[in-house]
Amino acid sequence: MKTTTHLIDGPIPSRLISSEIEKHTSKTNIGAHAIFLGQVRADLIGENKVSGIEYSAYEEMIAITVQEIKDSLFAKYDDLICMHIFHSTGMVKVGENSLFVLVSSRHRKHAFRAIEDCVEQIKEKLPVWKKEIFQDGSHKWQNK
Amino acid sequence: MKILYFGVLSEISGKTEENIDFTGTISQLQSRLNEMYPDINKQRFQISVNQHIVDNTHSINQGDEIALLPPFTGG
Repeated sequence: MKTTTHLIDGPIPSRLISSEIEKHTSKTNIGAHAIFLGQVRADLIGENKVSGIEYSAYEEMIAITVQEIKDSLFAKYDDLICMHIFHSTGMVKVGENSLFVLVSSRHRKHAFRAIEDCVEQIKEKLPVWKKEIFQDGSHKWQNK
Repeated sequence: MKILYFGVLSEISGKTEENIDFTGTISQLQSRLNEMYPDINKQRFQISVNQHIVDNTHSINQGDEIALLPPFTGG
């Protein structure tokens, strides 16, 4: 069982995704990986188009929250081998990725279920906030 | 006691953190915050003490790290 969380300054680089997959080639008990990538969408709010999102995070609380998410996932999905979460902080432009989750298990079923569960828990519990930056330079804190 | 302000609350308070002299419950802290920043209670937020979310009856000690957490919007 292994879990890592990393806050990445700026967008998730695509080379990080390939290098993380590469790292798992030696773990021969894994039979399935599931990947989730969150991408910044060019939402239109009124006449204002989003040009990017600025993320801020409570770093000291993130490790605690991820441990809670991890404990709940490993308790529910016994086929799970490891999970890794990478979230951006700072500015991420539209079209770039801000969240990368990699879940690995012995067989596909638990990888599929755990990735959705993991992302939903990240949305609900991870202390991260997004500020939408518009093309005209104005901004709006996203509210639930 | 250190207070951290996140998300829209950092904009309302005009800062990301500050130190204040305070002892009491979370409920009493909310009254104090309302005096300091009248607009703050128009927002929804949870409060954590030393990175754990607590309820209104929780007592704060000197040296605790308090954080005001608007609804999380990561992802």
